[in-house]
Amino acid sequence: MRESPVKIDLEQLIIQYKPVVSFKVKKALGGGNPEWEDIVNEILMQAIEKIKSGEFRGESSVGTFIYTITSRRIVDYIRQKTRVLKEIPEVQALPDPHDQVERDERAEQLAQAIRKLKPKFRDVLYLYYYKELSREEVAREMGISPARVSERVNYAQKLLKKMLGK
Amino acid sequence: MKKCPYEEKIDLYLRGKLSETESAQFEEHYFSCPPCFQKTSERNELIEVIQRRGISIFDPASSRRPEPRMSLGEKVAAFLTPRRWVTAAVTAALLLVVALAVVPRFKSHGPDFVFTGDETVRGESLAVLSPRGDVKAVPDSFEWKALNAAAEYQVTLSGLETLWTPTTQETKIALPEDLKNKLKAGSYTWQVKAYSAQGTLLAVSPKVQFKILN
Ligand SMILES: [Zn+2]
Repeated sequence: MRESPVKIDLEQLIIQYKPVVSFKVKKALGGGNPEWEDIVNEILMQAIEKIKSGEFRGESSVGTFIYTITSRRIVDYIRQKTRVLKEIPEVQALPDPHDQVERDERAEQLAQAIRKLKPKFRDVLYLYYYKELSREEVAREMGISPARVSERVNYAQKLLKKMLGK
Repeated sequence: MKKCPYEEKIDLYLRGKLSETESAQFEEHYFSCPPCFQKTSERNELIEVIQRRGISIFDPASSRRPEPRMSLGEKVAAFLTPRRWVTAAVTAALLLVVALAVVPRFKSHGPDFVFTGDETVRGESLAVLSPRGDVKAVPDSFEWKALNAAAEYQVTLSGLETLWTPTTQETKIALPEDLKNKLKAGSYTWQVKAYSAQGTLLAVSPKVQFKILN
């Protein structure tokens, strides 16, 4: 193992970037895609290799460097997939029921908390995210300014966090 | 606490309102800005729950809903529009188009949103009847046992993703034709939740797996 020219705590790097890389990969491939986790690990491995080998010399920030690797890997994955496209069924069966149950549990708690919000907060969430009205449309519907819409959504999110004990 | 100027892009990004370039810029930013990432991932989870469970969240509280004119049927219909299918039935082709266009689809789960405490009501038991286990063909309907205090039920059918979340006052619901045609052989799960007239969650059935053989 060669000496890295840029001093980076690799363990810290994984702790910090794994959630971010996971978020981006799942967003691009779909959280239901069973391959997302492998791809995230590959991306992190690649980043570590490049840091160790000295290929990354700190000319950009670590965040940008990892973002670049992530985007490239996603593009590659999609290209590969196009070749085997025809075999994939339209509706895919589930890979891991346990994971699904846990996710449903979390989602149910959040849903419960939203039900308990005061109408002015619940309504703004309903119009903005469920009905998918624009911010201006929500503002008109509720008789408040567009800036107030964002404030109210942010405040609702704060209340939900509090209700869920975080 | 000073506010990062990128914060106002969070909703636009998650709602797919940014151009491809702006979207990439925002992503590059949250790779380097932990507060923005944290907020984006939490907001994403909130939006996802609202979009997937909107009916059960907003409909039972119909007295306080901003749009009392819309019937339950209309909402179920709205929920089953082709747009929802992009999220629900992920074909690889759609996945490709969506990913290439860098249009966020609210699919991923924020990894940092940790929930504590259990507010889910599971007092009375709610039993599912059919389908369960191996079934020869795509089931025509879903059936469960009635729960005394329940005014409304919500069924959740899932494969790899949540596929269908209808609500009904009956204890049986027919699978719509378009969805029937889309279900292929493989494993699925389903579950039913019972709500009171006030919209309180009364009971949750166990999640039952069934397998369509051909
Ligand atoms: Zn920021």
